[in-house]
Amino acid sequence: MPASPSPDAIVQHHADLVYRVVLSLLRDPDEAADAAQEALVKVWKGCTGIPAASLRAWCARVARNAALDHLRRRKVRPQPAKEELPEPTSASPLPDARAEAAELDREIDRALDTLGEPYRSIVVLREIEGLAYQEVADTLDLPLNTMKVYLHRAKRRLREAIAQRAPELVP
Amino acid sequence: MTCPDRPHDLDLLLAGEPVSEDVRQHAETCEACAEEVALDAQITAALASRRTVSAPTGLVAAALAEAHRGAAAPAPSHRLAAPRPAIRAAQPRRLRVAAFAVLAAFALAMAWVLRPVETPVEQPLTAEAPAVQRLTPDLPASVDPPEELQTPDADAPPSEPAPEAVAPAPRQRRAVPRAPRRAQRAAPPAPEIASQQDDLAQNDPAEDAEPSPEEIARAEAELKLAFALVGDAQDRARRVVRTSADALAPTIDHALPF
Repeated sequence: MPASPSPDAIVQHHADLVYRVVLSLLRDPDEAADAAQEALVKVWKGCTGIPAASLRAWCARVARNAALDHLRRRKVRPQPAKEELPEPTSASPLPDARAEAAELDREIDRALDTLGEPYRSIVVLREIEGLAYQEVADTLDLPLNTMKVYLHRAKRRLREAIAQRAPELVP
Repeated sequence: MTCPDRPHDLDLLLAGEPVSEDVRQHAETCEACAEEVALDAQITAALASRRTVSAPTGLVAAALAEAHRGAAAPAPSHRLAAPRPAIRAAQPRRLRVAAFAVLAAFALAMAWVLRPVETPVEQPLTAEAPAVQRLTPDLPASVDPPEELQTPDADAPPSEPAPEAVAPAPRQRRAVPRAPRRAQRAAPPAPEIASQQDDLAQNDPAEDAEPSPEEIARAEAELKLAFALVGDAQDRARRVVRTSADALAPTIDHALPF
């Protein structure tokens, strides 16, 4: 019988997942670092009773909850408006493919911002983190079929938003 | 990008799930659906590329250090945690007590202001002495001292010759009843009433044992005249007061006995 990993090992193994989930929902690296640290502390404290098969979904859930807490605090205490980061300028222009990919990334972020919960979390967990359908459903406490319907709806809204806002990106 | 014939299972196709051949063929032939499939592939690829993002350096170490610090620190006891809500709760309680005190003071003040004004009960104008005494409580009661107090003490040395013991005269009814003091203050008796009273006082011999029927009739007539004069004086006083202070009419109604 394999020994269950220690809390330190679990935190180290899932730190990237936690940080990515938090960053995808908060879209602010500094705030995401704070929220991820809080989430990892909670993971360290509560991971002992979690089955290994559910550990990834559970960590994603803890990360999502921490990010949503930060979003609520942000609504209560509005943050000062952050200036748009200037585009990195370099003497040699980016190749067209990379420029197009960067533009698509920005449009995806904008479109994700227009999605409400749980659509945004579903897209993040499924498309970015690559969680299985059942894991996403477990993370969000949704029935599997409901989660699938939500995922299709969310992706369709993403496509419509991008096609409407940046038709030149549509192949 | 909106295809009017968009198959419902196109979402399943985009999700990589098995679909019927018709849907697959439509997705290849329809331009709008083909664009949608291509855009979805782009988005999926862009999102999947974010999977390479890793946590910043030091995040894990900081989280582990904080977790170990929190585990080493003693759990906060209820005794230490209790004062916070208690302090928070004390402030509203103090406010409630202050508000209640202000309300109580206000209620007392209102009760004092709105207390019922004692309207003097109009006493019947009778010649009974007790009635007159009730209306004039400040006057010393004209009560004859009891006999035992009037008789000189046997042990006391006789300083002067004792006056002749006179039997107390029977109390007689006053011929003219005294009007209530307030009425007198508000409307002083007319000169003719005063003269009538003087006349009656002069014609009130105590030694007359039995008045004759003529005297009784005359006294009654004078009594009626006196009452009529007093009533007339009260009417005049009322008219004067009411015309001079219209706005205070309700207060005057309570304060004045007529």
